[in-house]
Amino acid sequence: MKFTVKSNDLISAINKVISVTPTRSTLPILSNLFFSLEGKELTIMGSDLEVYIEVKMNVDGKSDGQVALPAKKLETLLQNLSGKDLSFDLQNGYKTIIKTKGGKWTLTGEDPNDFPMPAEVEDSKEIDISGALITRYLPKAIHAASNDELRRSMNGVYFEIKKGEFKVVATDGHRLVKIINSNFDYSGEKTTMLVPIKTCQLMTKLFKGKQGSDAEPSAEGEEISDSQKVKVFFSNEFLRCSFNNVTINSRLIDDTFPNYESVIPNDNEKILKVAKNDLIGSVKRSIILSDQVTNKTSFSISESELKVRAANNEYGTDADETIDCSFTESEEFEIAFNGKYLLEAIQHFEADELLFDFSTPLKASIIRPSEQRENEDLMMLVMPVRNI
Amino acid sequence: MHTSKNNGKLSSSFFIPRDASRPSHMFKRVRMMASYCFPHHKDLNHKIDKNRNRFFIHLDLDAFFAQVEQRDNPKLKGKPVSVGGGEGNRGIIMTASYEARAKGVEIGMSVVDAKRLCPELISLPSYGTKYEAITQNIIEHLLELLPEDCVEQYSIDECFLDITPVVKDYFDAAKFAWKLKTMIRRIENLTVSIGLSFNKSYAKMATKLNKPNGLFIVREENIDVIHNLPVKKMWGIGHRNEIRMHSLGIRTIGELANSNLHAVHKEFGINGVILRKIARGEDTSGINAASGERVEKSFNHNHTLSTAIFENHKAEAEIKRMTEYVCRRMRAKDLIADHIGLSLRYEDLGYRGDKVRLCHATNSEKELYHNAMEIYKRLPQPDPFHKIRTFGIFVYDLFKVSAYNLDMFNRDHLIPYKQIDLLKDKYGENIIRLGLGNS
Repeated sequence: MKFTVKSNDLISAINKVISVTPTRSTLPILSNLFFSLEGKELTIMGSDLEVYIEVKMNVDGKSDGQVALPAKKLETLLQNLSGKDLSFDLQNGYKTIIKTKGGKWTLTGEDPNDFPMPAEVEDSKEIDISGALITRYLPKAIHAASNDELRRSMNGVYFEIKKGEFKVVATDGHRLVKIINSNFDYSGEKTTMLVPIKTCQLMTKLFKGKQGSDAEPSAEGEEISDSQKVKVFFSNEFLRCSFNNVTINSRLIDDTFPNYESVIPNDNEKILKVAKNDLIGSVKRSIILSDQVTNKTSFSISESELKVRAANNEYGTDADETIDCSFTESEEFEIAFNGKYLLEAIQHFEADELLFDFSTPLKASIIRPSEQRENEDLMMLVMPVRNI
Repeated sequence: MHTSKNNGKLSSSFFIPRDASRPSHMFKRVRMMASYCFPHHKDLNHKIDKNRNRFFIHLDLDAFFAQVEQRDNPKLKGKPVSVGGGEGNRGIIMTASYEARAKGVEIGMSVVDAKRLCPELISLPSYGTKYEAITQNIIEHLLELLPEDCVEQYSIDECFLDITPVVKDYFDAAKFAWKLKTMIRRIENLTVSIGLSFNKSYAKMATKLNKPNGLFIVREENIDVIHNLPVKKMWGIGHRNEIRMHSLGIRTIGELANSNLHAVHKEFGINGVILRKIARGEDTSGINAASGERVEKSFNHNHTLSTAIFENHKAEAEIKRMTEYVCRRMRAKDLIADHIGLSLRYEDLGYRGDKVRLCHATNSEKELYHNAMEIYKRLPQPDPFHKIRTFGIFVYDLFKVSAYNLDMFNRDHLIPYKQIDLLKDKYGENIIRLGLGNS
């Protein structure tokens, strides 16, 4: 294997791949990155056995070959070699010599055949999802997914795709996010998959960035255009999606997603309308002074006033704020939430005004924006906190 | 089966299968959990001279449960009485009156064995809440005599007092001890044994030297009384440690006090150093903040069946009954548990147990029952030749909550536990039970 490459190009490719490399693993080969050169195309791959990330880039290749190089050492070395032309030369015994004008560094690699390869996605189905949907919907959903290993079926984001509809759901039992896009270009049969949180996080991180300028990831919050498609191949066990030069291979969660439809109430008739930023501010402040374990933040709502309260008896602190709102009921209504869950939910809305649908203080409450985007239906559900 | 200072972790001996060579009465049934606080090695690092002029009292209610029952029913006075187990011949003895002890009845014996030794034994069920209330009353009275940080409730029938602030010499201290005895006689009509010494562990050992209704003082001058005792009588040394001590050639407490520090350290680790210090009278630990409310860190409920069983449905019923009981106790104190464990004792006296972390902390019996059954399925299944004799449920990592977050996939919060508990309090455990349905 022999090629020359600009160090900045290589660093940005390695940065994408290395995010998956485990720092400590029972399989030492995983602390390496897999390099493979075919013609002018260099493939770099990293893995933790669950997720594989593959980045392809064009280099000035001279002879083909494969090697596995120590990830951390290579990354640190390259960071200190920015802006230079590098030439890579693989010798016998997986020794790799990196040369610049005036410098030479030797790394000893491992046998590339030991590096695990992602399983082929058999009888796969193929779907094109617009990159904008992925980078917009996934961050909203990920926060609600559960990190508790005992609840495996909730450790991911649930995708449901059917004719003309794309749905993303995530829950941890205390909150739930459901986003539906009803203008989805798909006409096949209904398919579902449960994608691990980690894969979803990588998807949002790596699929940001404009076509053509893959070296420079776009600024935070900048959306990729609707026309750019992420190709998704998946079977019952594996998922493979690629966008530009990045391919993610991941295992899917082999468990049934809970029956979320049955827990979404449809008879919540008490509706509260409140300005998002006012609410975020007062919930943030009340969390600081709330009970450290439950983060209990209570709402008492009258026709035009919303009182946000929290207290911690142990430290003798309490918060009490009043903000303007409009409420459909004339009778005062009381309900309490975990402030942290509530804050995470409302921060993910873009609308300036939010609607809360309540029924009783012991039943799920629905949060939705006052105006939905076109072809989009976004709702979050938060379970209340109950006093013992 | 206590929990040590690092709460939540079970003592290591718990899961060690015990061989048949140990008689059944070695197995203690602990229902009322002591807040066990053996001196920590950090407590022993104070300067010695600081502790020699201190005065500690260890107060022990004589045959507490049995004495209470005899007090409440004068017909039982002077008769062999045991408390623990149910009516009839089931269960294990928690306390026996001195009349019964004279006939050889021991704590931890099964009632059947005890009746063989002493056919006229009267076996009574225990009333935990009654005894707790008595202890509480006594502690409250003690707190009137002493500052709050000088009273330590060690278990339901024992406490430590640091009387250094109120006395100046042994004469004073002895007077104070008699004052305590008369006070407890007056308020609860119970007798106590008192040990008085210059440190906590000597005080505890002194109590045993004059029982019942006695007072024993260990001073520097008569330290030999302690040193001549066999090493097993020392606080912190049980059956196993005794054997290990013997292997080092240590037979009395005095021999331990004068033993080679390195040899003891090699055999027992830091515990050996603590034990040797205690034997030497260098226990400098103070009172372990007693004051009023004790926060439970774990609950443990064991039940020995009158006849061993092997049928799965019977085991299920037993586990269900016990989880319900434990959950009710947790709910009564607004506690929720993070871990649950199940232990089984088979007829050949082998112990097996395991524990799991719960999805989310709870005190709902439905959830705990399902988790307990999961553990049960993992343990060796009983068969007609390998029947189960004792069931034990323990919950730990308990914490108090004022509120909890509802779970949308779990409808347990709809079960009116408060009302169910009230019903059970009024009409008994069997008035309403957990159903068998799975949901």
